[in-house]
Amino acid sequence: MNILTYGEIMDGGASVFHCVVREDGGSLVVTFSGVVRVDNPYRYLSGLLEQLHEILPKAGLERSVIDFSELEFCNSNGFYVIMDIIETVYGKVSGPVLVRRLEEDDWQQETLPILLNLDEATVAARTTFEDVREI
Amino acid sequence: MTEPNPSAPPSAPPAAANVGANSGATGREANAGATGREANSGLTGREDRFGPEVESGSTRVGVSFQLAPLGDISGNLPRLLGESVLELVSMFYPPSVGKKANVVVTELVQNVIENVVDPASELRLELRVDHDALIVRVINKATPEQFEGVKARVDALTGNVDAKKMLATTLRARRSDRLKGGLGLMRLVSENRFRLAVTYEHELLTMQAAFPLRGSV
Repeated sequence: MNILTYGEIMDGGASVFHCVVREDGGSLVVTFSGVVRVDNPYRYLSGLLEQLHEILPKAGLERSVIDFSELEFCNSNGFYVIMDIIETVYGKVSGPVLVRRLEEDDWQQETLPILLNLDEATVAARTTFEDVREI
Repeated sequence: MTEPNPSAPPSAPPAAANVGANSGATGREANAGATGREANSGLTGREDRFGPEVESGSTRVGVSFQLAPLGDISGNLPRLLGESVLELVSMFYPPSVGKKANVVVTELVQNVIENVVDPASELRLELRVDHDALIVRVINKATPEQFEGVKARVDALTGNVDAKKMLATTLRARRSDRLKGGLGLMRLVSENRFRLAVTYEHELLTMQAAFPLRGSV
């Protein structure tokens, strides 16, 4: 398993959010963890987005896993940057996408499908969900 | 938030915060107030009074918070308040209710901070949760034009409207410019099923978000 890149948000001097992008046996694994509560997450994650655009087309990956199960909170300021990361994954890596999310989280059950753009038939056809219980 | 610092020096900044919490489960009340100069917390030892035997949903919890002047805010106040009410409400209610309290407080306080019209003015936050409902009110100074803008958004979200579809459409339409206005309110309705209401009186805008709990906890 190789870490390809990662992004981090600092808030009040503490690291509060991580997005880790890994390659694992031909799969792209993107893991979100922590909380997105800052007013401008692009200030911290624009570098990650640029790297994703550079790295992913060359990585030769065949499927993706996007894991939100450790993302505890995302305010509405974080919606666009999450959409950008998701869209980059779908656009730069072909093949099926497994989205892992929390079973009992309103944001992950109600709003995340909107951010994934599941209304788009091609996106929906590539996407499956795995609902997990919060520990 | 529920444990104000009783040793705050008299020279503390001219910001004021008051927090009160009460539980009707035992017939006792606890209030804590801190102006930076004095604090009296009745919450100490509450862990001993409220055990796991308390039936979930039978407790009444109320919090009121005031802060002025708004221009003194330098840290992430929405985070502080959101995470505090998450912990407080989750002590007595299922995590799903605590999460809703977290979301609504975070989004409404964030809205106030992003639209301050007078840095000398005050923010008030009131949260109440009991067997019937989770109700949050946020009150701040606003212009008539700001109120009309907020009212238009709230009106658009009430009635027979598909809030989820509205959120999806708005996100796509504004994404290229990353315009945020109104996303937080849409999210409260489409994702969290809050009922919103807004009023305006004496230059104060009151935003109320209510989530009915009767029968669900």
